[in-house]
Amino acid sequence: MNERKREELFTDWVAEHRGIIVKIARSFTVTPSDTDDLIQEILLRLWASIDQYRGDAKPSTWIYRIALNRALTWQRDTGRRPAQASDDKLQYVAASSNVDDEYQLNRLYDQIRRLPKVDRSLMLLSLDGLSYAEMSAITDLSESNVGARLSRARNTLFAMIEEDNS
Amino acid sequence: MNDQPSNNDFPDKELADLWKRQETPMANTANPLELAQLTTEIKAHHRKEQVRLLWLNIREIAATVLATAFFAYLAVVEDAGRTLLIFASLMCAGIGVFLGVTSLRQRTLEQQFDETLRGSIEKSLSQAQHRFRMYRSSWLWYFTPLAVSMAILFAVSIYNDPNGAKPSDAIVIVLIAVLLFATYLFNRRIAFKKWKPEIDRFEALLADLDE
Repeated sequence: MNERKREELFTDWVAEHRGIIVKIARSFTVTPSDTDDLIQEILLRLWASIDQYRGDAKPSTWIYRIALNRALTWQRDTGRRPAQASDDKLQYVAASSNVDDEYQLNRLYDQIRRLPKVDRSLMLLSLDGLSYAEMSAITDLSESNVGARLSRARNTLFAMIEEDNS
Repeated sequence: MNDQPSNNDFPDKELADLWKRQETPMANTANPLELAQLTTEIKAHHRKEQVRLLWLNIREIAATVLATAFFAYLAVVEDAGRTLLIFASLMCAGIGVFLGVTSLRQRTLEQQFDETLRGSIEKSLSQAQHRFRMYRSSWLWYFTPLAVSMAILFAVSIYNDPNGAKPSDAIVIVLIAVLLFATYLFNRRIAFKKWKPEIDRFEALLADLDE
């Protein structure tokens, strides 16, 4: 794949699917600075992996895989900050136009972060409306396993929500 | 987002709607110009990372290449102990060959993993295990050949010196031995402080996935 084609694909993907990247990064980090760093790491991995994309999966499936893989294995490296020059460019803007929504979302993200990492990944895919088959293709879990784990994760999440509301 | 028939209907509609309504902006993706700027930055960062990795590989190999060349040079210019110096040179070259072969083997191994979550975690685990093994056993494959080569160098120098061994030789030998051992301990520390916890983390993730 030539450089121009690669750039086009990358910009198209980011423009269309940036929501996937931001939501996953936000679910696996606590501070906005870490969210920015993880977004940058995911974008870097996405750029590096474009050559391996053969078109046998939908771009969104590919991006979910890359983003979740990076989020699951990512850990804040206290000794190194990625490209300082880019920091002010990659800021995720958490403020929503609807204050009440943003408050509810912050609480929801807090609750999602309390789920085990694999369950958290499935919960994100579920909230985004993916089918069990798609979740299975992304995680390499069987569909029945996805269903069972998701049911457990939802119960845990709803219990947390109820507990926080009471 | 997903137009395929789904067997995943999120039970809490209010929550699902809230999730769908959320804004997910990145500051610099609002228009094509900013997106192009972001792409340029990511490209530059990626290139920088590649150069950094290349430099790390060169640094790892450079020491053994220099040591090999040094002992080979001595083997050419020294009359006595030539066979031993050639042996020392070959041992240093062996370290480089070992590094190259194990890196290549690891890269081949990593290609077997797919891009699913499981494949990715297994790949990360394999990388961490490789690093752990290399740091933990550095005495065997790095410091012992280097120490033996140094010992050969001292033995040949002392043998060729008409005055024989001097007290200062002993001091230098002890200093080098301490330096090598300290570096080995530092490597072991990296193995157990950095890579062992990584291995545990990835194994826990896999166990969670297999649960």
